[in-house]
Amino acid sequence: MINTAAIRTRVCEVVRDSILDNPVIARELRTRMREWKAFAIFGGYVLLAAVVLLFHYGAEISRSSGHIVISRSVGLEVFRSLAWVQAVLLTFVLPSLTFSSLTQELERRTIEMLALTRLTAGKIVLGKQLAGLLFALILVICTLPLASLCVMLGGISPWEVGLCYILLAAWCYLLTSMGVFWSSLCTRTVASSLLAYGTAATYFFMTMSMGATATFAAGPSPSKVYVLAGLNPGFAPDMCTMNTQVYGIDIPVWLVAVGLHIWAGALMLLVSSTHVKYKFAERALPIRLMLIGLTATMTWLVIGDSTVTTSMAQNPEYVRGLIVIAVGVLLGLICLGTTAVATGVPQLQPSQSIWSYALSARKAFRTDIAGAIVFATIWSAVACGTLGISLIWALKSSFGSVTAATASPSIIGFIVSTLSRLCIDVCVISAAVAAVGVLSSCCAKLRKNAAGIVLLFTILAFSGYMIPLAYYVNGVTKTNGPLWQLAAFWPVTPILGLTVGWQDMPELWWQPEDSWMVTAAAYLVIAAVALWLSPKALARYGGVIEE
Amino acid sequence: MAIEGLTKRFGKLTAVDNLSLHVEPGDIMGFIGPNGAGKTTTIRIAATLLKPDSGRVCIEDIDVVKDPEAVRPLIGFMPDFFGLYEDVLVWEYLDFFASAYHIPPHKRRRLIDDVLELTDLTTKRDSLVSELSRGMQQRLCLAKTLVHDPKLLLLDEPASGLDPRARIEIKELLKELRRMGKTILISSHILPELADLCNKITIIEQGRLVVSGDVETIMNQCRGGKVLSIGIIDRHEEALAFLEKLGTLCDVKCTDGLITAKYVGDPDEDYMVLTALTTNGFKVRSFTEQPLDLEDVFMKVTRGAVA
Ligand SMILES: Nc1ncnc2c1ncn2[C@@H]1O[C@H](COP(=O)(O)OP(=O)(O)OP(=O)(O)O)[C@@H](O)[C@H]1O
Ligand SMILES: [Mg+2]
Repeated sequence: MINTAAIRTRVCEVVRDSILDNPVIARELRTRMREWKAFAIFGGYVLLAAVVLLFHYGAEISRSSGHIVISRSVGLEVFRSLAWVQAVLLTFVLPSLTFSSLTQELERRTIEMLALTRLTAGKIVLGKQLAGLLFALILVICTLPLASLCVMLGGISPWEVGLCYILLAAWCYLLTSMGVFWSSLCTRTVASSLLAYGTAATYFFMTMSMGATATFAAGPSPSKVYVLAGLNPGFAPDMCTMNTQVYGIDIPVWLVAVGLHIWAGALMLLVSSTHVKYKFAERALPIRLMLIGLTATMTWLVIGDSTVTTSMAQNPEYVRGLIVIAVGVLLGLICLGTTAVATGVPQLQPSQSIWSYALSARKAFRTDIAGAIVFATIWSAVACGTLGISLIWALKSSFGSVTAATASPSIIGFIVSTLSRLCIDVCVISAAVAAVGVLSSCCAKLRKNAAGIVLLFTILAFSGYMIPLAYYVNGVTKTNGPLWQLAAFWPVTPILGLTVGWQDMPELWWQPEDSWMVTAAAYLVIAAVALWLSPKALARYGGVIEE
Repeated sequence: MAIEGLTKRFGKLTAVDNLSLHVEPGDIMGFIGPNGAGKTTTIRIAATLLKPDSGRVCIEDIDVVKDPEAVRPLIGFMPDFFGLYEDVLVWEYLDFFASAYHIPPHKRRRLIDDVLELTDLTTKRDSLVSELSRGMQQRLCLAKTLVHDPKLLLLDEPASGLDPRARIEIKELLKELRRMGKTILISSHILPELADLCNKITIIEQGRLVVSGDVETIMNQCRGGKVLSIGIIDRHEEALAFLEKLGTLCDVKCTDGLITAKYVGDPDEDYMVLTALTTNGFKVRSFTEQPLDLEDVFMKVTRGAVA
């Protein structure tokens, strides 16, 4: 039996402890609200929104060329610009609310006294984020009167306006968490502000183009859109009524956006809470499980999306392109994530061999970098596995059954054989990245210990150029074999080798179909060399640096 | 608090080298050493902010490395350089820390008034922290370390950068704390500051312990007896010769008519010197034991290594 009363009291306790009685929130808000700047931001924000609204309304009126009767949906039109101006302004304002929250404590030397109190790292991080979020929510709420004007003009219902505001709130939550995240990882406010603004702007433009392609590609009045179309709150007025179809199930786009933003924000807060200086918080298990969950859910949603499956049904070749893109994206994400989790100080005992340390499966969900290698491998296997399973599911739902799908050019067999090989490759590549991460952490005392990772990424990124180069050297008719071998370091080569039909076969030491083995071997060698060098580096350059 | 075999290295430099130290409840331990001796490093290790390379620090039998979160509420740490939240009021600042130490809201008001009175900041209750003078900020920081009623205070040069007046104020405050029965470890390189405050002192240099123990014991040990200073009106040369012959004095010197000499005889029989002088017709104007001077002890103890 579940004891609901006990759960309720526990929830109340947690809420009281972390939110209502959190001195960090009180102090941050006191500080911020005492400055005239806060009210300048409020004033400027509402004023700008109002001015944009007014101009748009004026334009609508003049378009109706002097007639008193204007379009019935003018409210929606005007509300669109309100959503856009808010999305843009929030993207400008939100990072600034939290990017200095922890770096400033470091720079002003207040962090030590804060860390010695009974506040937990989680409470500190949550306090910083909630203080920023509350301020942001006040900003957003200030424009509600403008939104209600739009409702009165017609074309949009109060319920839809409410959904748009929920999307805006989720955006606030994500970007304030992102600010705290960078602020906990950096030691300088300058660095964290650049990173916070950089990621916020990148994410804004990325989601904007996703939303734009969805709305334009889907035609004038679509009812179904791409699953990730609603991430940008600028599209909220259009997207809040839209659904997406995943494996035949209708899911509202706004729900996907809100869920994804909350998940990502929570993940970033969790990571931040392990990076508060002088505070010890070990959260490797939830962080790693959430990472795996996020990757798997995203893969599952995107592959199962009806727009994807319809094009698959129309064009089986599409599956190949999809696999190339999906594996490429997964690989990039996993490599970046692995680098992040693989840089730490080795907890290697003097008597322990680096091999047993790095490959101990029990450590997959522990915070030290030995776990990182195992974790990176498991993570990529799960990601590839989800990719394969969702592909098969997607085919089932669009072809009717798996047998119908296999009737067309042996899609299932292709997926299974291709993905299993690619999965091995992705696992090996991420293990190699993690091993290089181990090596760099072993050289903690060399100031340039990140060089190893940078070198590896350079190899990953540029070895792809070997393919055009191989053609360039000997002309298109006869390609240069050795340069082709180098291309195996480019992680997409095995994918190409498995998926693309080769017309102009170069003279290789192996068949293009087998290049996955060469890639796997190459990265296994990198991993082995990195691990072999690690104990030597640890003995020479290892240790803890303190500033 | 017990420190055992503590060692901390920064690269090649050994900042603290096999240091052992015991502070009993109620002690006021003066922790002194020249610049770079490793005082701050030791205190920061004890305050759980730095990890030692080897050795143990236990506070109330809790190891600071193994369970820092359990130790933190027990100590009040005041760093040598610190920052305050500048844009809040004084009482809000204290309220922040009271809340951060889980003191229930209804008790906070009384508590804040109490610590403000103790640190003599009551009139500044509603001022902005940034508007306080340096000395007041230092006292506010001390007030903050007292909010959660810690058993052990680790104060790293609490009077550094203050004018003499503010320094005396801080000293008075520390005496008040001593009366309240707190255990205090206080570091400084300004020695007279500690003389009448501490009951124990520890001197370290280059990370190594030089001496540790009661203030008096250490001073007697270091100077090997008392120093007498004798004022005589005339016949200085004769008096010098006479005193040297006496046997219970050595290092006899005469500067500006004042004779100083080290007394090596029976501590209770130093009056015999005076009797001998007067019976031999010397006109003695003053006869005193030189006041205890930690500075001398310090210079003496650390002389070798500083150079
Ligand atoms: N973070 C650090 N990195 C490298 N060396 C350090 C660090 N902190 C202290 N040291 C070195 O350790 C030694 C001891 O320093 P510490 O600050 O403990 O001295 P101190 O006794 O507090 O001196 P002061 O009286 O000047 O405050 C010094 O030589 C210093 O250079
Ligand atoms: Mg110091």
